[in-house]
Amino acid sequence: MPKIDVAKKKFLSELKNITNLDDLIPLLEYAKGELDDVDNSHIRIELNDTNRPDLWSSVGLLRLLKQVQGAPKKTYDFFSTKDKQIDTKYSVVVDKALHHVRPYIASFVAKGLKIDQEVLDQLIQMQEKLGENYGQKRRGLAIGLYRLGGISFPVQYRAVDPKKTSFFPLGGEKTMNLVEILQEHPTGKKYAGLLEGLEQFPYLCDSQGETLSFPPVINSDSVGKVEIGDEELFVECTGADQEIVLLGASILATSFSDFGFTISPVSIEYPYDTPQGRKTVTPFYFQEHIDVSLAYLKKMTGKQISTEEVLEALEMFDIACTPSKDKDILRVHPPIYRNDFLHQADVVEEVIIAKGLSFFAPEIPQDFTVGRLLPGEMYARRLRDIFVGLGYQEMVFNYLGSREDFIEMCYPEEEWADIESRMLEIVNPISANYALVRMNPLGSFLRVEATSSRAVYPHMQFEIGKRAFRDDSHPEKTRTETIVGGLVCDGDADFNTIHRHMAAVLYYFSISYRLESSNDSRFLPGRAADVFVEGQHIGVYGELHPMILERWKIGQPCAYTEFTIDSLYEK
Amino acid sequence: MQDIPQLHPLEVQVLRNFPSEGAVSLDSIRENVHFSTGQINQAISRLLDRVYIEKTHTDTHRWYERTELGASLAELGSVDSQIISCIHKNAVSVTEIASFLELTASETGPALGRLVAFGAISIGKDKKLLLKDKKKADIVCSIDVFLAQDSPINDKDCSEEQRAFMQLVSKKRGASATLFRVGESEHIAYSLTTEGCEIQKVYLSASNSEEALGSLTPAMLKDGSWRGKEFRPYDVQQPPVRVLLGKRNVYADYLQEVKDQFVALGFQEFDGPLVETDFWNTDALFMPQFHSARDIHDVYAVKNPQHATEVKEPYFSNVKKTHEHGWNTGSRGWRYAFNEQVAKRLVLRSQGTVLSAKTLPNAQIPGKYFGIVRCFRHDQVDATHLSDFYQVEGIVLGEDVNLQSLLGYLKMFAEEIAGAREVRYVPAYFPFVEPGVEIHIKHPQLGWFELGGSGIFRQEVTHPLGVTVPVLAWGLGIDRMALMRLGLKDLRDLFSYDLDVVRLRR
Repeated sequence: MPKIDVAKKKFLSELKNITNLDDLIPLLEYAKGELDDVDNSHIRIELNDTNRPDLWSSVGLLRLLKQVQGAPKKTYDFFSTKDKQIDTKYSVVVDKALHHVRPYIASFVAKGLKIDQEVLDQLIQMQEKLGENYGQKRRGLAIGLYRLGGISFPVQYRAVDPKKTSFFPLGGEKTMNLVEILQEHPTGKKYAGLLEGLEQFPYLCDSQGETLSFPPVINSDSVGKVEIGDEELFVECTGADQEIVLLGASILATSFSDFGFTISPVSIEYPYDTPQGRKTVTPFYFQEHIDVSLAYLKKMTGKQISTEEVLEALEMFDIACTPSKDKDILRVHPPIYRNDFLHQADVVEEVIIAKGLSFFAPEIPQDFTVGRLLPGEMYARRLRDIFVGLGYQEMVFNYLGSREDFIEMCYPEEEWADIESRMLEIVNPISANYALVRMNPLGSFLRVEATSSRAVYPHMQFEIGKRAFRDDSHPEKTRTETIVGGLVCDGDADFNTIHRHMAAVLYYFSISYRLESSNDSRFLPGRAADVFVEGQHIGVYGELHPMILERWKIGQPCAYTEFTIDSLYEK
Repeated sequence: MQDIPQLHPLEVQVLRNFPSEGAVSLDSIRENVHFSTGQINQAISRLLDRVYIEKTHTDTHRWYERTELGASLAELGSVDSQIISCIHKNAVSVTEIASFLELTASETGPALGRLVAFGAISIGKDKKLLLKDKKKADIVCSIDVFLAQDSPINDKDCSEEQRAFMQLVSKKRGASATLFRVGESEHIAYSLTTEGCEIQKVYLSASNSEEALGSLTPAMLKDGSWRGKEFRPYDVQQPPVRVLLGKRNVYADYLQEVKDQFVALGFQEFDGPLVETDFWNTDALFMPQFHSARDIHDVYAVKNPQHATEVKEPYFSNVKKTHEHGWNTGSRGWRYAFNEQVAKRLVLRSQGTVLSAKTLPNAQIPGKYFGIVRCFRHDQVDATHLSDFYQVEGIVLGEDVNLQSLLGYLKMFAEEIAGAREVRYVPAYFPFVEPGVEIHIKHPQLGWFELGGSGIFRQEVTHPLGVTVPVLAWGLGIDRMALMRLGLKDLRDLFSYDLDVVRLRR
């Protein structure tokens, strides 16, 4: 979830009757936001709704909080629509070859505010949050800010040969071509993956050939370098989805306007068809209306809410709404900076939040249903009782562990490869300690023994849990089973210890079983038994091989059992 | 009898069997008293505290075990003895001896040093090796018998001269470069103090005169001889020996308790595999494939195999259409090209909601379902994050369920399961519900905290899975409640590897 930093004093001063942070918490709930961290000068706020990028800046968040407090609504007159395109002297011309590279761009010009440190911080933060979070690390949306003064229009958005195009990148040391930037520049390396497989790269320059940037990677060091004291900016968004690009520009333009900039539109000329035509003037209002029925609202909330109440609630969030004649259907027009109304349920939620959850009364459920545990849970509970009766301590283990614990410390080296091929390994482990899903609990039991040699003996542990492993016979390719494990560690623990315990367990579950001498290499040869129920191998038990105990530096003999129970109760 | 202190039966037994004169070792006490070593140690330590017995002397037992190096010379004999037999036969110098024996100077060097120090040989003119003391040389050679022997050599079985040489070729620790490793164990002998003698007499005579009985025996019951006897009173203040009992894990116990509470509220349990397709883990929950929470850094992906071969129809097609354009769900969809291969990617289940969704196709209406299931997150493990942990999740299906009934269920959970009296509802965002509501409860010590999240499943989630009635969905932070119940602060303690910590927890 995105987190934003805002200047504490200034932020609070913009709000009515909010003198301390405790007052701010309930107000933030309207934005699905919460305080994350606070220091002397800044507040960090976490915003949980990933579909509300309009809130990810101090001005964007303030816009909503002020609406809630009843402040007069802001109007933004620089938006074009399909029917009404605003005239502008600024334009961007798009190259045909971009169609299959990074086809969409939206842009505007912002003037009239001298950028100070605070504004610069907020601009950078907005660019970062929109590009990284909403724009999936710039794949879907990348934003560039430039000094307007150095740019000759029309700006050219082109697809170029990366080896033949070079410029001096921001934060770089020399003029480089685009391939060199991806290989050598730190920002270039970070985003190189976005351009994989492309023969031509996106490139932005002005009519004189002066480089603006290499989107979505890096600006030039000249016009692409915005600093404190600048007053006029050229802003652009690029990406693969036109709606995302347009929304990005709309959010930026309204926010820049809220900062105090005056916004001028930019005309975009495409040589190919786009969902919004070949010529769009941005910022552009592209959102579609959505119809909500009052009956649906009643069904969702459980409460009758009048048309007037709904209108008033939506008005609070500056959501325009026109009722139908019979007032049962409301036509809702999303605000220009939002595109999160996919379904009428999304409108219903706006009404709920505006009314406040305390407006709705918790209702005691009426439907009668029968409660029931799974057969496996019932079975496991009976098993637990038997093991506890035998004197075992129940354990609860993590299912993820290291290769060392699960394989190398439990099996002879010649079997490692085979065991590993049956286990599920994680592609992206956060640490080697949590890299594999367990196939049995032995490694965990032995880790306990290696940790607990000072605890009074005998040690008797058991666990009922899950395991998962590769199984090519299913379309899912893996299988999860319930596995029961038990381990006795004591001076006189041996095959007979676990033999009689298992006999007791199997007796009380009325399981008729067959034992065969086991070849499982984890046990001493001749001192392990495979357990078969109706011809199916369900488990193994016996006396652990001293080779394993030695690896774990365990000084007492161990008897161990593991068996699966799914097939037993499924019958 | 007033003067007799109340001793524990263990102490009495040990005291009775003590020789009135002379010292005795633990081993010989054990021969007479049939207690476990732990019990005897306990009795001895109490008798020492009472100063009825005292440690008289300690006897050190010393033995030699050959090292791997020693064992490798079992047939050839030690380098020392090889040098001596070489001097017997040939006239060799310090510089020649190594090549004579086909050894390196680093092997013969230490041996020569030892032999000279021991006095068996000396070095003469031109560095010639000379036999200095025939008797000592024989002793050096006699050690070869020990080298050939696999079992430990008792120090007492060595002659004094042998012992002197053994000291030169053995070490207690870091013995790998020497021929033998020295083992030592201490045997402590105990004897009665004057006071102990007195008490012993009292107990022996008490027993002889049968004035007070220790244990009531089956024999006494059979022949009635207990009648008219006095039973020795016990010191009830004496702490008993710790009992090791079989026990449920308190964390598992808590999870079971919560399961029972949900069943009591009319919920049926569900469960499912640890490994899911990305389809069930996220697509079915209407999280678009470009959603930031689907990043590789949030979910664990399986290395091999990477993909399932298929996902059950018609759900697969329904979900795909819903993502792309909303299908018949009343939604406009996410408007992108759904990638089928991404949907088949195998991942470790990252949220219990997956099983809520999977329950939908076969759910009864009205129906209530829940599960306490293991989930996996790509989080750095610390006091508040685990890589795998439990979540409790559930759903309620019904023609007439709605926001107000959701709030009612949440209140019920807060009161019945978390034991809370005060609750607050806060708007929340979860991609698969709309509206979304968090429930916060007030803990008497810890103040307000989030108990869980909930909402009404989006129709984009329910319709593709064949459900047309509203579905309430919720999840509670069960691990946090468990910590509070068990009085713990660190989530890692729930999955502890320390046996005594787990055994003693209550």
